[in-house]
Amino acid sequence: MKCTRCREPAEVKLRAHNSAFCRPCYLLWFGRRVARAVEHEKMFGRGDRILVAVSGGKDSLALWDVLASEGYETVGFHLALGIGGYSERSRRKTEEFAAVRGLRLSVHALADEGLAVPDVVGATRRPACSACGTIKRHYFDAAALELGCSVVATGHNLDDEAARLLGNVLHWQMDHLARQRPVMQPRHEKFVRKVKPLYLTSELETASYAFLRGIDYVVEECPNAVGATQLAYKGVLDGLESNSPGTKLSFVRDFVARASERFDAPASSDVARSCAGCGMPSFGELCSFCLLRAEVDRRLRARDAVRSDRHAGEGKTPAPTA
Amino acid sequence: MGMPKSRWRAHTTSGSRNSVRVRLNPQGRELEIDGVRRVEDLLRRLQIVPGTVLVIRGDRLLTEDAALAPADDVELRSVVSGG
Repeated sequence: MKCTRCREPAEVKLRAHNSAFCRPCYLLWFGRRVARAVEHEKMFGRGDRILVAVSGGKDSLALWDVLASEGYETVGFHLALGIGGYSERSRRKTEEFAAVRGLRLSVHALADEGLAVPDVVGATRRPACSACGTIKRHYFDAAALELGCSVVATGHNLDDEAARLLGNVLHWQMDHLARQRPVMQPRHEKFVRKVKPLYLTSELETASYAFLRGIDYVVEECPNAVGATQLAYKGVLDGLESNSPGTKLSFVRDFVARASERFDAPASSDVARSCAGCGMPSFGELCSFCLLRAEVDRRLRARDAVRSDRHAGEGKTPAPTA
Repeated sequence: MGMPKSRWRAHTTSGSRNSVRVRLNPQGRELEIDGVRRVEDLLRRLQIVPGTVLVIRGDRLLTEDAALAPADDVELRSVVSGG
């Protein structure tokens, strides 16, 4: 198979674009594709300092690589989730990526605050992905504020957006459909713009880019992703794509271009107050993150009280809580 | 990757290897598949939807029409992320 552009032997075939590319042409194509998405949706400009949320996976590292190569001012932010060896490897690969390229990276470890995701799940019985999402949103916003960034960029790709859109449509989640955009403008002075520069770039495309750029990313899945509904939706969409290349791209691109404006964000989404716990914007007295943290603290105290009573009955001294 | 168990059999001859050695990532499984001449044959044999894996031989990516030689070592690296 020959490169569509230069006729050299191709390494990447993209059915959705009816094209194939050799290595140098593919890297050029990918960079231009991301640039076009950034420009078309007015995501950010040369004057912005961009907080790039980096997990150590292919999408976020590919995104950071592209933006840095294009000369944008970036700060990487890695949230160490405390999910055992998976998080340790993710952190290490992110740090190595930044060190090799001389990029600025800020790391925050949840375990240092007693909020490692497994501990939060154990204390509250919330689904891991739900707790993780609440925690991430809080720390991305807080980090952007602290590091003087005007925009937060995440590595959500076309497959992520298509799966999310499918789920929102299947269950007619009108509020979620109103908020599914490649650019989310801030609703409070302490929030910043949130953008998804890879929203029209498939997982195959980002993985190909990462491999061809020699990016050493985490391939293993988060242990909490097993059985996730998103994966089921992706499987369905991959089947549709196999029969009709370009389906995912049309689904997401045309939703954004033609349908998304028909879904209005509800008035109650206007944020008016500051959280009494952390000072970040909040719907109520405490924001979602502080409510979660309070719940974790409350349940751990209750658990310790039960243990203390039990040990008192047995004549033992209870072990201190970490 | 969501693949069913693959239909494979070990088929080696002493002193040589006529099958393609396949490593599945992130599953960590290794298989030997014979009777496949192209990448598309391999994906079909393993019931893998094209576009859901990178096909890697050495330091290069392979497209579906690429020929596979006996004793080739290829990695099938899933591109699907769950979270």
